[in-house]
Amino acid sequence: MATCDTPGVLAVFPHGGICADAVRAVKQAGRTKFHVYSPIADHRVVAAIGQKVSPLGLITLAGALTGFLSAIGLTSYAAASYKIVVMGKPFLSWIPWVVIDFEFTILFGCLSNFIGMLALSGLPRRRTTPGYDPRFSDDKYGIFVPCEGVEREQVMSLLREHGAAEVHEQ
Amino acid sequence: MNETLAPTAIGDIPEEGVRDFASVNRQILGNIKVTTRQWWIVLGILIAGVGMFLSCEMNQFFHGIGVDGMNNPTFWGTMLVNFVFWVGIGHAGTLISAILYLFRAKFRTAIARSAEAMTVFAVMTAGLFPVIHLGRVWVFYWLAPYPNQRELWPNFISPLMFDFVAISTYFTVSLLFWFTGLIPDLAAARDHVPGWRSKVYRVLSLGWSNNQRNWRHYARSYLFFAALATPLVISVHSVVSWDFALSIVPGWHSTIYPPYFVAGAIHSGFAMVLVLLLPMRHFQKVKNIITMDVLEKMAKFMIFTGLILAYSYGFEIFVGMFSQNTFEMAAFLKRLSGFAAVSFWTTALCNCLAPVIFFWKRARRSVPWLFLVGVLVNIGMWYERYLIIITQRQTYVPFSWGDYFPSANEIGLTVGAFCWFGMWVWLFMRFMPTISIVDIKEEIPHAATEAQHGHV
Amino acid sequence: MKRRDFLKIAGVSTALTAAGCGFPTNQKLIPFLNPPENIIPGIPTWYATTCRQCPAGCGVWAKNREARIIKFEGAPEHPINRGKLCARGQAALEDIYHPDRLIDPVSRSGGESRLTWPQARAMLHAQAAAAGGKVAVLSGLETGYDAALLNGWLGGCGGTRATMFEPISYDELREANLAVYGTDDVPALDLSRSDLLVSIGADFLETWLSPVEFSAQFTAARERDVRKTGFVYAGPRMSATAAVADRWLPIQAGAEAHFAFALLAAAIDAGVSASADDLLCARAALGGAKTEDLARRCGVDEQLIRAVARRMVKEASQPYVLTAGSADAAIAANLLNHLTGGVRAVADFSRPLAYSRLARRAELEQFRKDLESGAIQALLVFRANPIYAWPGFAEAIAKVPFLAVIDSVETETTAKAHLVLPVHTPYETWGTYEPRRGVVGIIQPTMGALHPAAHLQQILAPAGGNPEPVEQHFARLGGAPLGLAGDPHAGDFRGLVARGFATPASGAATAPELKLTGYQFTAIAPRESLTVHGYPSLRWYDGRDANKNWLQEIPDPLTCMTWDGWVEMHPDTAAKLGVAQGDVVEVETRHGKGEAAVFLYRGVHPQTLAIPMGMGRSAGRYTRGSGVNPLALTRGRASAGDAKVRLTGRKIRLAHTDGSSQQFGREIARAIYEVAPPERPETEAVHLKYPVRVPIAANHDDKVDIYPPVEHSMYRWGMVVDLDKCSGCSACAAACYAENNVAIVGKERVLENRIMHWIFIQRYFEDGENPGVRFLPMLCQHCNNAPCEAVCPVYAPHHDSEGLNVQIYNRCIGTRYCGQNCPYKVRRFNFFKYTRTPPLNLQLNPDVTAREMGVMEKCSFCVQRIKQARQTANVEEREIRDGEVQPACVQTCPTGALSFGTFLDPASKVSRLAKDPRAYQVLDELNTRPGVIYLKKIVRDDKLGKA
Repeated sequence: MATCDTPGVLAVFPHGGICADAVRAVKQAGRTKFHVYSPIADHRVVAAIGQKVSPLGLITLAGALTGFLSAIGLTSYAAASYKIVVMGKPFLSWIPWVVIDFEFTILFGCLSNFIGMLALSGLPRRRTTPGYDPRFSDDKYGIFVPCEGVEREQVMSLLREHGAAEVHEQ
Repeated sequence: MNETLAPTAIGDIPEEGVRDFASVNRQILGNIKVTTRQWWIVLGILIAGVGMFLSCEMNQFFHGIGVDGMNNPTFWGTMLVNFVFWVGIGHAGTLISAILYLFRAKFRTAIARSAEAMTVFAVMTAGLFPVIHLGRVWVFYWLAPYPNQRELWPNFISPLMFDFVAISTYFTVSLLFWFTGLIPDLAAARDHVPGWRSKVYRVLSLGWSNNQRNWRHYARSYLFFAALATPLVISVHSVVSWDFALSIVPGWHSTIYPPYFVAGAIHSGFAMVLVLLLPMRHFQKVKNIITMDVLEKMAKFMIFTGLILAYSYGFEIFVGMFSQNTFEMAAFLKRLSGFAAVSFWTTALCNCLAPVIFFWKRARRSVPWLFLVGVLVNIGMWYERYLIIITQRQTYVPFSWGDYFPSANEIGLTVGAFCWFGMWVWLFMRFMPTISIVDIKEEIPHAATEAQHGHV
Repeated sequence: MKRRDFLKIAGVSTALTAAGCGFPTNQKLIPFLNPPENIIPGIPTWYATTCRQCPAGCGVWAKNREARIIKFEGAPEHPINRGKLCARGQAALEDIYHPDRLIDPVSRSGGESRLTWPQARAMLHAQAAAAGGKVAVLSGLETGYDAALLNGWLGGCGGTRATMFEPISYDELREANLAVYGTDDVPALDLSRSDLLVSIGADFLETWLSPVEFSAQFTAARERDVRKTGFVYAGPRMSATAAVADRWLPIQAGAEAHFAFALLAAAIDAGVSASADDLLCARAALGGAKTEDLARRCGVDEQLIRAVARRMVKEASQPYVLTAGSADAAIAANLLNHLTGGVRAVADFSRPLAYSRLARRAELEQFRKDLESGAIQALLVFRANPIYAWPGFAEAIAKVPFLAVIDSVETETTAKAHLVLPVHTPYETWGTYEPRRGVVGIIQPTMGALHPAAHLQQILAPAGGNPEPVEQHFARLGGAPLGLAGDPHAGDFRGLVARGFATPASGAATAPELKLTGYQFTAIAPRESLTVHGYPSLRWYDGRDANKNWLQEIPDPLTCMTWDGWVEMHPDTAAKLGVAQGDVVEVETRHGKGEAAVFLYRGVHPQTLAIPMGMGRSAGRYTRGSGVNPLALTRGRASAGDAKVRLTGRKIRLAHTDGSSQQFGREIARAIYEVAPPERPETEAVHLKYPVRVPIAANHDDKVDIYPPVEHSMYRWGMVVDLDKCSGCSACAAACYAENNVAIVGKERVLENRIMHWIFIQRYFEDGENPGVRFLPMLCQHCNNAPCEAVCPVYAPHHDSEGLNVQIYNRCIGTRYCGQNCPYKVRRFNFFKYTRTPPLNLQLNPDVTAREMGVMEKCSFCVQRIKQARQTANVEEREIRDGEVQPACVQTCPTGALSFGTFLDPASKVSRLAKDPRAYQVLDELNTRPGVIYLKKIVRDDKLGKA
């Protein structure tokens, strides 16, 4: 299923430790474009890849603020469009509205968090990323390096000497 | 392409814990298997129950809400009882998946998934009641703040409006939260479950690829979900409690309501989790994952919530008496001895006394006791809400006092709601990974995995 | 004004309107090209006529909208009721629109068959002729036009026996008057002139003689001097009248006379100042009977009786004693009134009431014998129900070959008739009625006839040919024969009709002479056994009003019972007999027996079984098969002794509306005491420290009000309810049902606490007090800080600019939170779709929405009337005057306990009343700032000492 038309080399590793070493080696070899597959977010692999923290937090925050403001807007506008007296309260009785504001904040925050997560990680997509192998959702780790022609050999050897259990050409 | 994995084969299950990643997949995905005859029979019964729910609803839709027991002093009946009860059930799920996640409580991993599922289904059940209890169901959408010609907007200071917003938010959030957690496991199911269902899981898993890009944002997303759901879960049942506390009905108008509703919600939620997990744990053969230690921790938690409730009940009464207000005092005296006494003492015994048995370690670690207390607490919590509802029978003006008894129609709706909830749980346990594969894998020490394949 | 045209068109358009509701028709509701006279869609036309629900003969104005009457209101100018009306008067509407109305003539000679009018009239005349002079007419109390018609017809057939029969005939009073004063007239009374009333079983605020008139007079008497005017009630049952007395003295039914003579004796002992002859006469009547043994016989503490007598003789200047049900008691009362001089102040024999025309009991007995003996071969009954209300009549009538009944609604008697002749109700035809000399009420059609029934004059007109139209005949008869002559405006016939009544000059009042001779009261030993006591029902009178769903559902003020007949039994007696509430018992006297459910009532003498008249019926869709007819147990008398009670083992749920009869010190209905109040639990202290705060912005108080004051635009509508005046008569409730299309839900729903009344009388019993009854009319309080408003998610209830708490039915989605949060529990929810049996639906008030299923409703202060008044005011470019707006309940309240107006105007009546030291607001500690201010009941010092 994971076969895809992007040419490249896929190495499968038995566990995260080795995979992490291989990742470092690949990076030293000056390669920036490659996929690392792992059944869990293995902190060793993550460390090896050394990415910056996801910007998702900002998106969520923005969403939450939007929710908060829109709630204030909605409640005030609703009250102002008919100045109806209930229980002798002033028609702009904002204290109880805090509840509404709060709920909207959470709601919009969560929605933007979810959508942001999908967007950033390129989901949803019809097929899995190049070089994906079902075993990666089970217990195997893997690195897929897109490359062609002469490069292939050296990449494969690189990966082999860093402990790849199998290496496939694609 | 790989014969190393036989997806549906169940490996021999160790007594405690799990050996390696592969066995986790086998064991958990192994439960997603072809349905049996008995399973269909049970499902049939549950769907029949849902049918009964629908017919009762049709009955009151066409003949009027009067087919239920509500009347002039007692304007709200068991439908509000069920609403509060089911929202309460929901809370355990979010608590386990969000709060315990933030507190890094390890025992959550085994139960988080099914608890979250329970939350979603419970809120789906709860959401039905505020709608169908309306006198004019067909215009329920007037609650929604939608723009319209006449510029008619809902009244945002009404507790019912809080409710509407809070419950819909809560449902959306817990659904998304649950689904986010499911994505990697759905991917695993996609990869390892044969046949047509694989295609379904492919669609559901949104093309998740286990690559570093996915994981990078996934981890953050899950964290923020937890961070947002935590205040939400506290707020939702507080809001529900304000349906009562913001009124001026003696016995309702009390500031203790929000905390004690939240505590009660978690209490009932945990009880329901126990009632659901104990059978699941047995039939799905996951005793090694949902271990006795996990159950024991839940039992301890229930002692805690049970005691909070005991305190709340006591303090509520104390404040009522302390106020020296005729109406408040009357309301609570009638709970101690009076028309509400039966409900009150049932509540107190089931919610506060029953969990105390868990101080006894043997009980904490015995499945029958856990199950029994779980059932008792659920009964108790239902009665607590019933007690609150019938407080309206005798409020300020003695001349207008009256009776209230649930009608057959209401009972039909109540039972039907349990079937509706059960139906979803039943489907979930058959078609979804009931335990979070990824979380369990993360629990496994690296040594365990690396031991099998020595370093090269 | 061409009344004939109007009637024609009105009749047609009413029929069409009727057709419009439900029956297929392709015609217009109202023809708009050349519209009919007097009908402007949306504008009511008022017709003055006379209420014929009881012999009191109050004047009413009928509100005609689009050719249908939708409301009755008291005629403001009428000398008897002065604009007020009782519950039965309000419900008179239902006679017109009653589903049990008779439509076509029916013959039962040889199988039941419908007849055409010519056939029916032919049959009537043929049979009358066949009887060969042995014809008789039996009618209810009729004077003027109808009496003339009946007598005319009777004369035509050579008959002579025109007899008038009323179940409640006050024959005892007439007998006593005959004995004491030599006249069997019932005098007109002016109770307002008495300063000490002693009622011996006379419920003059409910049914006795002329209740609406007396309610006003009684209020006037108390208002004249709140402190001094006293009222002591002695009777077997604590009626609504007894409940507002200073003191209720329970006496066993049947012992009224003993009490009266004990009082007489005591008065003499107390040294009443009267002429020697009069005293001699009184002593003779007493025949040496002593106060103490008479007291012992009626079971009342002697000291109390002496105290009452002392009060009559020493303190009061014009005491007056009223009695009911016993000729002996009435004689004693007459003597007392004569000795104390009360009679000269209160009674006016020159203006006898219409009752004086009724047949005496002896005559009726003779009449019955004649029926049995065959001396009467054909009987025509007009608007009377003797088979139900005249024990023994049924057996007698069986012997009479021909019985024709003229009535408009199905009754027991029509069911037995050989010939049934449907007649128009008094509100669809012409006539006159003279309730007392000097007042002639005019009856005119207030709407087109609803059914193809006939007018009495047409029925009785000579057979063959077309009878002269009734309006023509009536107009031609005019003046003298109808007793209109002598009225200053007798000339202006149309003017009189528009006014609705004539006041012909009557002779000057004459002081009656004491003519009692050869009478001596024979005291009998006190009864040990139970006594059955049938009392005229506040809602059903003698039963003629029982078959009305309004009067079935509006609760009886003291028992709070709806929808059933019952037997009142004292809890102690019940305990002795082992009877519980709702047990169906068989009550048997030597006259008869019947079954009814027991209602435990502390307000009845332990040895008395009190039964309201009106139930135990075999006819009527709202009455059939419930309760027992007391007249059958007492053979038409007020009471019968030696009653036996047997349990049947059956039990029924009684639909009484009181959730609790105690207020547990909650001080919902408060009182101030002239005497030291009895001990109360101190919890009540919480409620009593709040001053009354009329709900206007000016009374804003930063100490208790969180929010800034709400300014009202021009008015702040509000009501003041004087609990001291309220007699619980429930006329307000009836008026509200009529005005606001309040749904009738039936017994089952009442049992489910789903009754829909917008205003209702709360009744609380107070331990340690006598009578110890508090009535509290409860309705929406239109609070400034209305708890119902804030909790509604869709703004269905909210506050309008004039202080009304308005409810928008169309916006309501039925969360019922408002009802939940209303501390007064005055909101009513439509749990079902409540419909009205045609043609009752024709009575609906087009100005008020009929509420659909699933919405909340409540009192609106008759907002439609406020709008109406505002339109008039705007047209005349002025503000609404004080008292110009009157909600239905306020308009009709016979005692004037309710007043309505704006609090923003400091000069308005309500503003003035709200300054009364008795003013308070219910549940004031909640700071809802209600717009209804209550004035505390005054628990008076009866000056009789404790007993």
